[in-house]
Amino acid sequence: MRRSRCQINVEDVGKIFSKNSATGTMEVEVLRDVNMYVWPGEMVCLLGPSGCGKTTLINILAGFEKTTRGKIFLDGSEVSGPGPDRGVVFQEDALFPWFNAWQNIAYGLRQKRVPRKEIERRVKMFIDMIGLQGFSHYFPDQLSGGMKQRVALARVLAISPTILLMDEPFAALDYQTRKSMHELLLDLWQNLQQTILFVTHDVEEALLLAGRIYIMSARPGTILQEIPIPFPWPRTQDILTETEFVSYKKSIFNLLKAQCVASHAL
Amino acid sequence: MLSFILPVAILLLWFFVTATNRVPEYILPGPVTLAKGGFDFFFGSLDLSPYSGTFWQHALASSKRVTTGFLLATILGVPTGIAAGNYPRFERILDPLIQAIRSIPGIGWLPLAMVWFGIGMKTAVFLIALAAFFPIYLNSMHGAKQVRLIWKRSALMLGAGPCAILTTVVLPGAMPSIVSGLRTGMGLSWAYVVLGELTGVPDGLGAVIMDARMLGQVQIILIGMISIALVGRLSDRLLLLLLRSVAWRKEMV
Ligand SMILES: Nc1ncnc2c1ncn2[C@@H]1O[C@H](COP(=O)(O)OP(=O)(O)OP(=O)(O)O)[C@@H](O)[C@H]1O
Ligand SMILES: [Mg+2]
Repeated sequence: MRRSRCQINVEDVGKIFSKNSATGTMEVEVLRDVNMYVWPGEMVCLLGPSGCGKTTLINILAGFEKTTRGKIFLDGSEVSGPGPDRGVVFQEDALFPWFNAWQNIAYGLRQKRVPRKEIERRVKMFIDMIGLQGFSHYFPDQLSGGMKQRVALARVLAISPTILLMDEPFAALDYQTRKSMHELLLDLWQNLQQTILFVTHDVEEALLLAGRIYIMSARPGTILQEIPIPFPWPRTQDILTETEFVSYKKSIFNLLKAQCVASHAL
Repeated sequence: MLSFILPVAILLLWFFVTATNRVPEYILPGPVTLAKGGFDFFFGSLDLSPYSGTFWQHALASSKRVTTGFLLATILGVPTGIAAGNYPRFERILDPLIQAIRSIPGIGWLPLAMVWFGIGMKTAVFLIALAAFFPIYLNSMHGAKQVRLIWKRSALMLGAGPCAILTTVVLPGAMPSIVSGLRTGMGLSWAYVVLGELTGVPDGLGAVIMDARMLGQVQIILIGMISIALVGRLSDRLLLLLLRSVAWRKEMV
């Protein structure tokens, strides 16, 4: 059965937020009948218009929020709460501002009571890996946006999660920095073989990174289409200009444009 | 430069009205009398009054009361404030009572405190602890509420348990606000130690100024007031240094 062999299995998930206000309860349906799966070691992108519930889905997968309907299975067992088997890179800046880069990366290892020597070895390794040598004593507000997201990535990689949930981690970065982050991520993924669910609304980013793309509809978000991306690995920025890449980009653009129109019509 | 104009003008005016006896010495002593008296109060070398050289003894007595009361307020205020800010249910249980007590002015507790604790150390410590508790509690609660959900979620996701979240996320996240609560509390402690010492205790800077009034030593009243200001300032600096040395990051304090 697919459920037991998949790393992530989302079955008929629905999410309704209800807010109590003076005029009574207001209900917002954010997700409806979401079905998707991710194989172990696969990188899948979730592509959808703004406000369609991508962050909500990530929060549910991470165990921060509960589903209203449906179930989520990780490695065959149901999600009950947050856990260090899933590392989350958040859409917003989520580093601890009172810890420097080194302490932020060491945080998860300290919680696991890893011996000090081993923490030092591993943190150093990740600082080298993300190219922040010499910045370990910098605090988050002394780092650039790109550096911060590198630290955020290293912070979760340090606890060796089986699944990485990445919520538009590079959306706030400029084009050049984003490109270098893509290379870093592709590199890390080649080496560490994590299962990655990557949320974005940047079509090019999704095509460059993903083995498969799920397209989401406007709110209430549901999976519109599943698109396998055939470009071979290891990938580099060079594929961005290939004709096949460009034609994929065009057709996905059109799909999304329809969703944008739909969301404005709401 | 601009900031010196007004103080210098006042000093000159003060010198002028006292030197020409337009205002008699028993109402307002002149700057020279005051400077001499102050020197004597600190070092006792001039033997000008019964208070010669007693500054250190009185400052120490007041500092003891302030420290004890302030520590009590901190030990009670920070944990309850953090708990109320972090757990809404705890806030609903505790906060209404605390707000009700807070609406009684601190000074209003003096007679009751004297009934309960008599005259002396205990009354002063009680008044200080009570007065300093509120800003410490309120600021800790406010600070804990400001802690971003995403920091707590990050910690959860990295494997932190509830205790670790309190000590590594909520406490440092609330730290800047806790610090301002502690500083306000320290300032109030110095105000309330004076109140606690006005009631006839033998030592302390508050006792000195009350006592000097009865002996008609106006310059000692003024010198005592200035001493309280100086010691209060100093304790604020010391508190800051201490907090800086325990803070996760110097910039937080
Ligand atoms: N806690 C909540 N309570 C009520 N409504 C919420 C809550 N969280 C999210 N929503 C609503 O759910 C919808 C989807 O939000 P979500 O953050 O998941 O979108 P998104 O796809 O991540 O958008 P973006 O691309 O802009 O990040 C929004 O309309 C939002 O207002
Ligand atoms: Mg989002």
